[in-house]
Amino acid sequence: MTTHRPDSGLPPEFDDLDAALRGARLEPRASLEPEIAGRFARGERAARRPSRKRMMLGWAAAAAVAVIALGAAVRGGYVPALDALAATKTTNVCCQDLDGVGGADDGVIVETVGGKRVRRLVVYEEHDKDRTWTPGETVRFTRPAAPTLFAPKAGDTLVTHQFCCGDYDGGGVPDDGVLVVASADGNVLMAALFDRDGYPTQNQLR
Amino acid sequence: MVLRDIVPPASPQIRPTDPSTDERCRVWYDAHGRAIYRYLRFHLESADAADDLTADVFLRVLEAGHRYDPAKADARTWIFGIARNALRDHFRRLRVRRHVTVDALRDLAGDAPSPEERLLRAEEIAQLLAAVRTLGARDQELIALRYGSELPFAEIGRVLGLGEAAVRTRLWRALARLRAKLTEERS
Repeated sequence: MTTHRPDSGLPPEFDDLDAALRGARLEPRASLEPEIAGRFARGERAARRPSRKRMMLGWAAAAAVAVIALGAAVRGGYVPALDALAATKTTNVCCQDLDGVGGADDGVIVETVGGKRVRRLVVYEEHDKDRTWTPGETVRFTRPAAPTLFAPKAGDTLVTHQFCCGDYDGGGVPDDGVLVVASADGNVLMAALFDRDGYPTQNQLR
Repeated sequence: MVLRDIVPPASPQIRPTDPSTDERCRVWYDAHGRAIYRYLRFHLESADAADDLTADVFLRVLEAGHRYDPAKADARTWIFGIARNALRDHFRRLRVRRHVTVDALRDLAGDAPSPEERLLRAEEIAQLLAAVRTLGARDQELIALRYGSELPFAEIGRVLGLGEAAVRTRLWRALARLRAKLTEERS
């Protein structure tokens, strides 16, 4: 039982939570202070987000490219980049047991270009049962365009999970599969799409 | 014991004429390092990330030390302002949250007599911190300042630009939401 602390400034019904939170005494590593002094003395500076000036330059460059591309399109010129931008699609499929741990509580979000090429793939854990990713839900895996395999930890046993078929790439037809490589304890190391037709011999992961 | 007893009693007044970087860093860090680390740790999922960002904050503090004016703000309020900016920048850079296991609680100070009890305690704290991180940004900030950094209500008010009574009320509400999250998860 937790006794009420008048100095907590909280009503007694929060005593247990107050005590639990006070118990979270976390310590920085002992060598941190000399490390900071050493880094500063060597001329190292803190990581910062890009300066306003640099961001403005970036925006100006992007705007210039957009204006040139738009001009070319209006004059009848062919601008592949515009096609790709127009055809970008994000698909969310939930929920399946993608990592082999915790039942069907995983979702996959795939961003594709032209209904085919994967530009981004994210595997997340669904907690609030709304069948989509919401802030606070754990991202288990994320990768850019190329399929990527994260290095397993020493002694990890790898398990492959395969799901087919669904419309994972947003092409409108349930003809895609998803392949997930995870460690036995559920850490997702790789995830990629494949086409039902041709898999596994004449196909490439994407 | 009142909370003031475990908070560094006074903020050191650092001037540009201080003798050396080592000395400046030591004084700033001794007075505020732990509070800043714990504040950041309540927001971040791993001890390594909190260590790195704490270092980043104190590099910023050392860089900007000559601009600090004690007449304008208490040193701790000033450093917390820097820490909050650094945290915002960190989340902008990061964008994604990563899965972290109980092993990440290597920084938990504890007096548990056995490894088993320490593990259970670490798991309990990990669940608690994970639940805190599912709260809204304002609730997280209040809980991190109060329980991470152990700041008194008045000082939290100065950091956030709020009155003491408002801080108190918002903290109650944040804790009520935290309890609801924990109950939901446990059920």
